[in-house]
Amino acid sequence: MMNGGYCEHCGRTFYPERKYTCPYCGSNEMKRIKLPERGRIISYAVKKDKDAVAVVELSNGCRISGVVKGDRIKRDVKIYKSEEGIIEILKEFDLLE
Amino acid sequence: MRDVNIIGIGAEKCGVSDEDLIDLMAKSSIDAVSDAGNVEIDAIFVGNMASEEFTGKKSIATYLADELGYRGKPAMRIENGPASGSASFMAAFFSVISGFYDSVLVTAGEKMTSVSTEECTEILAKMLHPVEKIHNFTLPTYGALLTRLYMNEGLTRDQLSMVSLKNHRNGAKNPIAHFQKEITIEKINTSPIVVDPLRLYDICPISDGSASVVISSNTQKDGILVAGIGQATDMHAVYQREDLTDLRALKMAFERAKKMAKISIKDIDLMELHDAFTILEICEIENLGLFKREEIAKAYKDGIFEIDGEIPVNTSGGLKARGHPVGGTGIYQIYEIVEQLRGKAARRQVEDAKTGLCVNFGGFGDNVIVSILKRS
Repeated sequence: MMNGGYCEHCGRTFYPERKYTCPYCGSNEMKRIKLPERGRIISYAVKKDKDAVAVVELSNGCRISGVVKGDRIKRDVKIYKSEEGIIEILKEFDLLE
Repeated sequence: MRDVNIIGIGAEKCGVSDEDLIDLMAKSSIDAVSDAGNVEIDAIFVGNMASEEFTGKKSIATYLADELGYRGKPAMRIENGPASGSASFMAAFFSVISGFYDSVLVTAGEKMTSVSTEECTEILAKMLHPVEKIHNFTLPTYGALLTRLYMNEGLTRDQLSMVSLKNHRNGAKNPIAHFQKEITIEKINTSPIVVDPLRLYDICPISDGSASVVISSNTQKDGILVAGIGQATDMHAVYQREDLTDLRALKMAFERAKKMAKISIKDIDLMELHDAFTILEICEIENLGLFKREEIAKAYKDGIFEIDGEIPVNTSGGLKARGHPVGGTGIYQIYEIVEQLRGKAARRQVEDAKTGLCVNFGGFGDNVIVSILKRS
């Protein structure tokens, strides 16, 4: 499970966690939360000979960027953060289940 | 507050140049000061994004002041990503409107072709948020992500190509454009895919160049009034935005500039927009409130944005054809509007142009400067 930030003032979640303020409303009332693992791809881009990258909206509305693993792009995805801090966007649900 | 006018302009041809950054900057500076009737310059503001990485040189403002023989005159560089040009213009504007200086030179440029395309993309990607960088996002990545969102809603390849087609057609009429050649829809549609769905002709070139203006509290007969200027930021990590197609910083910067100029969008006769990627021109037109998303493709087809259209966009050729020497682009945009408002744009002349607008992005819409210029 990945950590993210939750703003107690505006109720939004964001990734990465932030030290000072909520990126949406500027409040400093934030706490750490566990981010959901499921979301949907908002848009993706494919570089030649490289993994596609995408913007994903997680089920709680938090938006993340990451690298798409595998050949086909599916709308509904699951995410996984590697030790290097790279968010992998996995298309088949069973990869983590 | 007193009026601030643009009284001199100068620009080097955009493209692949044999000259160093300092020579490009010195030449456009000398031309602008000469065009301003060799007015006494009180200070120099220099716009440049990355002279360190591209040329190995820091302190470019001091170097330029020295080369120009301006020993003793104040000089400073402003870095604000690809909006460094407009930011230096804005800082210079504050210095004159406040009465601190009377006449100042603004020179903005970049030397980019000294490095390979890959190195250049890497240097430009340094403007992204660290979380974007770790996922190998680049500026073209965002161009592709935004293009796909529009295509999901029905924007076709042919419709997108209208932007590049128009801007190359305009660039062919601009003696300082990087590309001075018209291209065909077929050529655009079959150009190599860079980041799917972006093709080569959806992306601005890598250009060398420098442009300069002299702004002053002096009023001259062909002075161009700086009527309004506005700036805004948006979240630095672009993926965090609620809607990638909502250019909030552009809307806010435009509101601020419009309010200061006391005009409405209907008063604007022509615009230079920041088409680093063709989709951005479309998205900016929508966010400025000119047309609704579903109306834009038809407006391109009807020639609304052509030089002889209702609201000409990027008569210079835009970033796509005029070129995008990143830190210099903001001043190239102002240069084009001044030529138009003076009636000196030759084959690109927009009939009876009185008011022009420039949109300069310093990142993927996360730092935007809008300037409104008027024939005084």
